[in-house]
Amino acid sequence: MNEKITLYFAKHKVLFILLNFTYIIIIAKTFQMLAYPDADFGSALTYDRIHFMLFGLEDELGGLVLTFYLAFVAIILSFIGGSILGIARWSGVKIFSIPATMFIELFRALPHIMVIFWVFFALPVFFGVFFGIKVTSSALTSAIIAFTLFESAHIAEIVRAGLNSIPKGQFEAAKTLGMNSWQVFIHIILPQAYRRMIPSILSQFVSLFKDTSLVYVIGVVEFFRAATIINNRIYMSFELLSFVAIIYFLCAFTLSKIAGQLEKKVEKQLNS
Amino acid sequence: MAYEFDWTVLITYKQLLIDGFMMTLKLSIIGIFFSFLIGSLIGLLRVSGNFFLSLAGTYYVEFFRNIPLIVQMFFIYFSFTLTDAFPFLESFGNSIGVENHNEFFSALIALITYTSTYIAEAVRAGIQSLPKGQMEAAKTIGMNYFQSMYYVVFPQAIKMVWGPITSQFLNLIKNSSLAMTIGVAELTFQTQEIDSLTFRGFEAATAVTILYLVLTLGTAYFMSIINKYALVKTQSEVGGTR
Amino acid sequence: MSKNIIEMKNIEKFYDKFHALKDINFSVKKGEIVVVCGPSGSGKSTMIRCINKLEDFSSGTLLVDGEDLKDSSTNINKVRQKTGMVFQHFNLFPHKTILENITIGPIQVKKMSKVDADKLGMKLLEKVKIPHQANKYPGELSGGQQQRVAIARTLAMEPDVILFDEPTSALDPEMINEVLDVMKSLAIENYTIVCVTHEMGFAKEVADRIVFMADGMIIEEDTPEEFFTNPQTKRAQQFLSEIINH
Repeated sequence: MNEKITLYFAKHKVLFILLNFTYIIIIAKTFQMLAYPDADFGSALTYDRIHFMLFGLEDELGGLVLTFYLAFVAIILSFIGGSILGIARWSGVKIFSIPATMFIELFRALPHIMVIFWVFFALPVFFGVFFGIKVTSSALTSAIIAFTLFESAHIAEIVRAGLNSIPKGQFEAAKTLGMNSWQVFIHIILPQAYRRMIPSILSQFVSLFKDTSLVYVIGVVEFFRAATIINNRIYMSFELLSFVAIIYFLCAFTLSKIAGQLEKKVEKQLNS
Repeated sequence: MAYEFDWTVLITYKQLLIDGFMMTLKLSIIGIFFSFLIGSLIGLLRVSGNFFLSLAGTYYVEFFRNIPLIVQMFFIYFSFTLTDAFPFLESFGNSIGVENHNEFFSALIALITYTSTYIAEAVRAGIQSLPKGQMEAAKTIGMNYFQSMYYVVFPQAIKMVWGPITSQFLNLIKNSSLAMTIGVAELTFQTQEIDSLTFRGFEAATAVTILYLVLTLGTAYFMSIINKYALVKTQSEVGGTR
Repeated sequence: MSKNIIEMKNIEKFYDKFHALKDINFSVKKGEIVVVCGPSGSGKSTMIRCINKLEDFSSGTLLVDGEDLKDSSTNINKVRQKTGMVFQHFNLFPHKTILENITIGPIQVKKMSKVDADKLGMKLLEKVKIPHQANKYPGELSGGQQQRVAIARTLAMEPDVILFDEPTSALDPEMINEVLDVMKSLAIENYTIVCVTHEMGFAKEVADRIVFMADGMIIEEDTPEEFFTNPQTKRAQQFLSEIINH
């Protein structure tokens, strides 16, 4: 019986999406009626407010757009940083691997929100004390730095795992062709390792996207903070936060589905 | 002007640190317990073979995983008054020494829903990675679905994904820091608290970092003890001549 | 006349569009030893896996000891206690000792006491000639030993009929005989056996009936003498000639 249903819906994908859609609307509406019967989405979600939450203020980067911006910048920087750290740790060369390991383990153990606070409050102090430079950083810059710090640590571990997953035979085969260690690394090992890492890195990106909501604590006006700012004025948290939750869900869900498709493509390549 | 470290503030304000640590501990222990329970249940739903149960499980996982934890905490805390809806929470909270019930339980529930999705996925992966023959053999000797799961499939699956599950528990401990945003006086909150009282943020942050490390390393150690003594053995652990 | 312990009538099975079993009519009497053989993909495994409902069938009737498998009121777990199965890849429970593998069925399903179950288990281990392995884990045993444990595990449930799904196909050649010897002893003890196998020597020696399948259908059913010396159909002849030349 179950096999038949599963097969049926696998074939009729549009019907499946419609079924899900219907279910979700029924569940959502039931929840709203039971939990918060007086919900008034219309007055909470005016055009201006939605515009603010999605785009922020005029001539300033904010809202959901800022969320994406922050996520993209952070992932690119942490990809670079994480690669360096991951390779350093994997290399086994003590001068590189010991500091890399210390960095990675430290930033993996710390709660993200602490790192964000730390960077925002402590960095100007540090620069002032140790370098005598007066540094004022904007909340956004602090956020980017903080994200880069802890995401690099996570990506470093992904890189290390990817490098470790290459069978020893690859090294040996390349060496017998007469390549030196450097060439083996660049031409044979790294390309294969990075292909294997793609799914993990993509899922780390989705994770990062969700984590952008944390910069609330230092006042960066991205999507979540924007919503709380409005909530502090009109006190309609059920409606506003439902909206926030739905938008986050749609974005993260879509991103992870895209990641899944890319992963399938990569798998095909790897196995062909 | 050099920054003079003053580590004595940690001693003066040690009660704050202790309170914060205890609060984080409470969130973590209860959170870990229930997210494991619920996560395992959802994972079992997903592999049950029943289309609708599996779909329900998928809804749960996708919904609570894709919404950021802080959003979930805010949603519960600001939209509802938990102690009005669930009065037993107040007495439960009192019994574990928690005073701000609404804040604590909003954070706790969000932590549980969020983390349970990752546990559910781990459990699902563990069960699906077992050879089908295990379930078939159990059925062949007459076991029903529940017996097969309980005696044969689940023990092996949990053993296999014990590492990822441990990671998720460690994540929960770190994520408990988000509770400070809705006013729970856990460990990260205390960093800010001490800093605002003494301007010794660096010292506070160092102490708190060490305390988090103690918590995470302790949990990882505890999980490895469970692995050694309570979980079933794998082929490689049993040894032998093969 | 012995009752039919298994009766399959007009069984059809489809995997989506693929017609895996075509109008199978197959019955087994109590005490019979039936060997099912044929080229790979012929549906032999599928057919015997229908008997204990590891596979579902699309239409037809299947009665095991009189119980209709399609009837929703039938307790499939009880029916499964009557049919034992020995798998190609043994499927022992790696997290339990050899003795526990054998006793878990009697203890949990038949509600036997641990003391009685352990006694039964040791008796069966002696029967398959490996009593000293009782407290080891499956990973520590050879393939042949594991398969013998699997047979003991099946016997512990005292089934009416034992189904073998290519029991020796995953074994190294030198271990095949130890398993076949155990199976032969079961045949002598008057167990009802349905065995899918490529071991034609075993079939010749022990089978009461040979069922030859190809392309999802039963092509031919003979006694072993007839099958090996005078196969009726071309398909069977082709199959036998390939086996002999192997």
